[in-house]
Amino acid sequence: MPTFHWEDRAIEAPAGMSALEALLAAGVLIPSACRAGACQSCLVRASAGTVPPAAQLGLKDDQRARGEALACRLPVSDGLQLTPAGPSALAGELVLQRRLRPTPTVAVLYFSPPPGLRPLAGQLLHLIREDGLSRPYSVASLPEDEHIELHVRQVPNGQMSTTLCDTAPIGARLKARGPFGDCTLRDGEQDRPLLLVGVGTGLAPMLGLARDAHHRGWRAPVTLIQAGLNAEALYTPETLSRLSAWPMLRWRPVVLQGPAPEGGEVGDVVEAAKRALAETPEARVYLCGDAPVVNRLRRALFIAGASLSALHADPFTPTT
Amino acid sequence: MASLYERLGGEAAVNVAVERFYRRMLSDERVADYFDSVDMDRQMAKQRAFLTMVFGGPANYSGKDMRTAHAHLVSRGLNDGHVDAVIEHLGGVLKELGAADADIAEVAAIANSVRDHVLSR
Ligand SMILES: Cc1cc2nc3c(=O)[nH]c(=O)nc-3n(C[C@H](O)[C@H](O)[C@H](O)COP(=O)(O)OP(=O)(O)OC[C@H]3O[C@@H](n4cnc5c(N)ncnc54)[C@H](O)[C@@H]3O)c2cc1C
Ligand code: HEM
Ligand code: FES
Repeated sequence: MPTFHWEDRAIEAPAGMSALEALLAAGVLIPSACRAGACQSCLVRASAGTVPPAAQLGLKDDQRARGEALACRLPVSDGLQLTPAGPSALAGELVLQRRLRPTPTVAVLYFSPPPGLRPLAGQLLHLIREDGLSRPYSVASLPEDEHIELHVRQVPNGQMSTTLCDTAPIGARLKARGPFGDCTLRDGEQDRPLLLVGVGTGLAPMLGLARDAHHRGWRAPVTLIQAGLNAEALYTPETLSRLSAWPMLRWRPVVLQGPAPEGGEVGDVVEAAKRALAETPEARVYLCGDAPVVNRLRRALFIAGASLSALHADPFTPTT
Repeated sequence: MASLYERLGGEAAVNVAVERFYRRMLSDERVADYFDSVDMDRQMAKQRAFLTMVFGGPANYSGKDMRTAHAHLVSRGLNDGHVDAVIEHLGGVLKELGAADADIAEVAAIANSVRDHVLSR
């Protein structure tokens, strides 16, 4: 059996097991959510040993350079030396300042950030409840905004989403880790079109990216497809209403069940996204929302010609 | 004389070919089911390994590896027709990228040489 190290401690685990499973089995409580390499909850740092590329997929170059890796995708091996992912990971405490309920199942939340935490639009923060429960959420705000804005859909019987949508009082404090993720705009691409597809509360990071593009003076079309079950489920945050006057923005609401929303259509979001890609084939594409739809979108847009290197997806893979 | 891998353009060629090849796989209903994994990044990595190998590049696979990699597909009905389809698309991608016919034939021969391993025969 291979032996690896967590800080000073030697841990033995069967070959083929992930470092995450081995650490949890050994009683080391490191956070995890999707266990599939998507959410970056389980970030650790490998200071020595073998780290296959799959354990660093989606990490930024600077993280790779530091040896950061996703424990759920990192097989244990002899000589592997792991430590917590480092000071950047624990960001501090967010304080809930304001909560809007645009629809019965959606909350738009505003938090004041701890000093030094300025996530980019489209990045993820992991919110950690007092009991240690941790869930990732995508950022809708810009670094220069006063508050960090998150959109949370209330999942039936969902632990964290119920806390956030309902029970946490204004003034509540939540620990956060992050920011993570690469669903952010690229520097120097102001002339490249954007195709943003937000399904449900997947709107949050897409709205953030659209605002960021506006802020950075984007000169190419920015298509924002907002998808939802029906017209009532589509919510319009004030930032979106304000942005709709920007000539570069093409806002396209799509609902699965009629009647059609104002200025939008009834249909499959995948078809709407394929049409939008055909209009701007060179677009950089961002997708966010419930996992089954986002995975379908990703596959369809890849087949339709988008390069995987210009196709960024944050599926809301539920925590297992 | 340059090796096949170098003539085809080495790693850079693999980088260009891999997306086109994977796109063809996903679009061809004869083989799409075998490649239709949610984890597209992981699948891309496997396609990259495939291309590096058949381009004659620095990939050290044994027949045993090829058996192991495809055993679960054989149990799902993988057969000669699927291998033919893969080789056909490989040729199509290489043609698009401007490879010489002789090189395309050599790539097909490498792929064919592991046919029995891939099909667990
Ligand atoms: C990268 C990433 C970004 C995310 N960003 C956001 C965001 O911006 N806004 C947001 O609202 N959520 C987002 N999520 C989802 C979020 O992290 C939680 O998974 C979600 O809020 C449910 O957590 P919970 O504790 O309330 O539910 P849990 O208590 O974990 O789950 C309760 C039950 O609901 C099921 N369930 C969980 N999620 C769903 C779902 N989407 N659809 C159907 N059933 C489900 C679970 O399997 C379980 O049976 C994101 C997830 C990921 C991985
Ligand atoms: C023509 C000869 C073939 C060669 C040389 C070949 C080569 C390879 C290689 C090198 C890998 C990566 C193995 C690894 O690193 O794990 C691989 C994986 C794979 N191959 Fe092939 N392959 C061939 C035919 C096929 C065919 C016909 C199919 C299906 C239609 C197929 C489907 C796959 C799949 C799905 C994987 C990924 C398996 C996984 O998820 O682990 N291959 N192949
Ligand atoms: S990335 Fe490892 S648990 Fe989600």
